[in-house]
Amino acid sequence: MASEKPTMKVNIVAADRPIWSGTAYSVIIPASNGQMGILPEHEPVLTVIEHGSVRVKSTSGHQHVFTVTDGFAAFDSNSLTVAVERCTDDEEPQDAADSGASAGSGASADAE
Amino acid sequence: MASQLAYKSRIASTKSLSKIFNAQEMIASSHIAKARDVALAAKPYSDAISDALAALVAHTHLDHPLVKKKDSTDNPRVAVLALTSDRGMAGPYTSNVLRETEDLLSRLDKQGKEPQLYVYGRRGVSYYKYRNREVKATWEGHTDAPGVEVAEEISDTLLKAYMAPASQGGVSELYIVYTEFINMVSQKVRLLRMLPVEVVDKEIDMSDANAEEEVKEAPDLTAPLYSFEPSTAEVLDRILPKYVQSRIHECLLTAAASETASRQNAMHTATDNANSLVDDLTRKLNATRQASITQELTEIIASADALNTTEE
Repeated sequence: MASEKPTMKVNIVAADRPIWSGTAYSVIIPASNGQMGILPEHEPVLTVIEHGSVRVKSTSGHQHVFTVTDGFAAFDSNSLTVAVERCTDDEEPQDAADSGASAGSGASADAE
Repeated sequence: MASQLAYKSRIASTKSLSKIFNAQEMIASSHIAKARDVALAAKPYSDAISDALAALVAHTHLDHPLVKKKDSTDNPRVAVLALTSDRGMAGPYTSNVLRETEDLLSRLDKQGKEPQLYVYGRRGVSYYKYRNREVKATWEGHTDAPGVEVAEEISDTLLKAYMAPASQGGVSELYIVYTEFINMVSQKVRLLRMLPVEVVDKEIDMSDANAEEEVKEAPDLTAPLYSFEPSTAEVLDRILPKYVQSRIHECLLTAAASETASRQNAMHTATDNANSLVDDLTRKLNATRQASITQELTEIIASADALNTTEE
């Protein structure tokens, strides 16, 4: 139990639809000053995103990659929101199915 | 009394119209669900932007031209965006919006302002073209399913007009006239002042022209202390236009849902009317037929009578 990794909530939304939500161990976002790694319990931050890929290491063990353009990311109270104009999902189809499952079982994934 | 043939042809054409109305109604009701889904899908994004903006409000003085414009007091030009529909057959949808827009324009004229018109939707565009009214920019062909792209286009155009200095034809305010979707049977025309941005968006009471002076939300002191990257000003610079865009998109979506609902209602009424007209005409047709039969009978009896009397 002591080795349990801390997690955080991640919510990725595009202007016209929600893209992905779930829990993750770490997220890398393309902030304006270069890549920015976000770990659970990060300090509250609001940063601009130009263009790049968001990498999410989710609690289900998958690495999700999203290509995003023009937006921002906000982190507070252990929850990361990435809001972007356009977003394409680069992950494999079977990963997409898993991401849906992990979004649904977000709370129980903490207990792993 | 019209001939039976005329009645028959009227009944046939009314019946086919009724079929068209019925089909339109069914199309509209299937679009409603889609419009609602699209509006729901866009909600998380606008929520995220509102949250981010709320965080910014709590930490900065919001010293940005979009919130408070410097030369707004002596610049009489204001922009008015009217959201109408591309197609007709939507009952009073477009005419309600246009009436409200005309009201607003004359009110602004009285206040000594110079309203500049922006129109979205083909019906509104043709209305103003017919009346030779100068329109700054128009957008057509998207009212059924307004995407992010058209929202981006509109907000870019309007922000450009807003950010331009007064000497170069910039505007000091932006009003949007749109139709809010309340439920399937009721949609209400609303007037919203989009720019300068008020972080708490209150709708302006249409009866009260002085309601424009509204207070900004008091900074929420419990909000987490953010660090802004690369800088507060730059984040504000990026988020405020996005906020405006997402608000405009929201307006477009609710207007699209209202249009569909309004069309469905109108088509439902039209179908009912057509059916009652068919009933009416059928009744008249029967009466005519009966009358002609009666007349023929009378004629036959009369002539038979006449023959009998000559024989006697």
